[in-house]
Amino acid sequence: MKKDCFQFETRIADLAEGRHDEAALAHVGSCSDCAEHLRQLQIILAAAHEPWAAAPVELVATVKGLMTPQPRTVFARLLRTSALAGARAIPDDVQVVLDVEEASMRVMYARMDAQWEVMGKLPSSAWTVELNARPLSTDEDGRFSFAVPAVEATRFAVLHNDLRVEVPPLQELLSSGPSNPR
Amino acid sequence: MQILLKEDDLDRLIERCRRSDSEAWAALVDRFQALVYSVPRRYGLGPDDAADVFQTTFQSLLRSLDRIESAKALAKWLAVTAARESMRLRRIAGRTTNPEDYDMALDEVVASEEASAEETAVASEEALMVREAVAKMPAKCRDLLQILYLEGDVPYTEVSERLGMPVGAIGPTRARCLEKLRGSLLKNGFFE
Repeated sequence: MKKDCFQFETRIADLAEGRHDEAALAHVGSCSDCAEHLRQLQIILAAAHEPWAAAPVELVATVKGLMTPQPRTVFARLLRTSALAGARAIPDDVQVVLDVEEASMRVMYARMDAQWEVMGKLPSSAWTVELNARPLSTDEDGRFSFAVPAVEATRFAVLHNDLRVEVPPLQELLSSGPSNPR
Repeated sequence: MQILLKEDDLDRLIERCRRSDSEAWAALVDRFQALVYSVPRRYGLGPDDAADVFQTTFQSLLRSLDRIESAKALAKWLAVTAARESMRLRRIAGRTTNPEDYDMALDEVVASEEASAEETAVASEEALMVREAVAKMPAKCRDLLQILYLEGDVPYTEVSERLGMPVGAIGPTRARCLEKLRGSLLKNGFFE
């Protein structure tokens, strides 16, 4: 690059736009860096001038509708738990953090007299929760709770669009142990 | 509005589309809709034919998601597919304007159309890269380059009025912004 290259910066842009400038052309003819610079600007401007048109909104919507949502079912995976690793008995109080594929979710399990209480918070308002294929109500923050007679019955599911995430009963979750997030 | 995605994000998006994730598909359509729709317009097709090409191209993509090797290949694949379909429609309608085509042997016609599709694909991919690079620039450069080069021939007086920039500052600012754009494209392998 030559000393006077910088003074030609604007004029090389002019050349790339197709304006005539003898002095700039002479400089480009004697400077390989500036010649390459000009060539690259010409490529950019040619690409910028390519015909370009956004598709009509209705057409885009039609094409988006080509893919009909396919319901998918996956199983939640345990990320973290307050239960001691290797403990043989299920503790009376356990907190777990679950990987529900697109998000994580915290759930608490507590033995209360003759039943198990399960409390959780959905990742966002776009999620819903089901127990035995029936929707459970949630509060405005997405918190839900239910009680079942045995730990084996703590299975539930959370849903988001076409995704269904089955949360296995607590003893199955704990026996599988924590895993890495997806 | 164009959705800007890095290549890794696009790979993930394609992967999600393969799993029939309709949200991912919608994002993919948003990103490439202008690229695909511009191809039939480039071949001189009207809005109805352009709509047919657009739908056929995305239907083909839906069927071929497993065959798209990487995010890098997708823009070119879409443009080639749209170009082939555009030429097919043009042929059916007898709208081929080059009379020399009628004297060509079938294999020559096919070779010529393939070369045209390839050329269209390269041009479309470059146009997309430039537009995406401009969209990622700081506001001052983005707005200036958008008006000067992506909107067509806008006189400096109008540019000055719209951007509140003195006419005398437009030329040097444009040169600096083009330089930044060139640097960013260079970094992304645009000129390779």
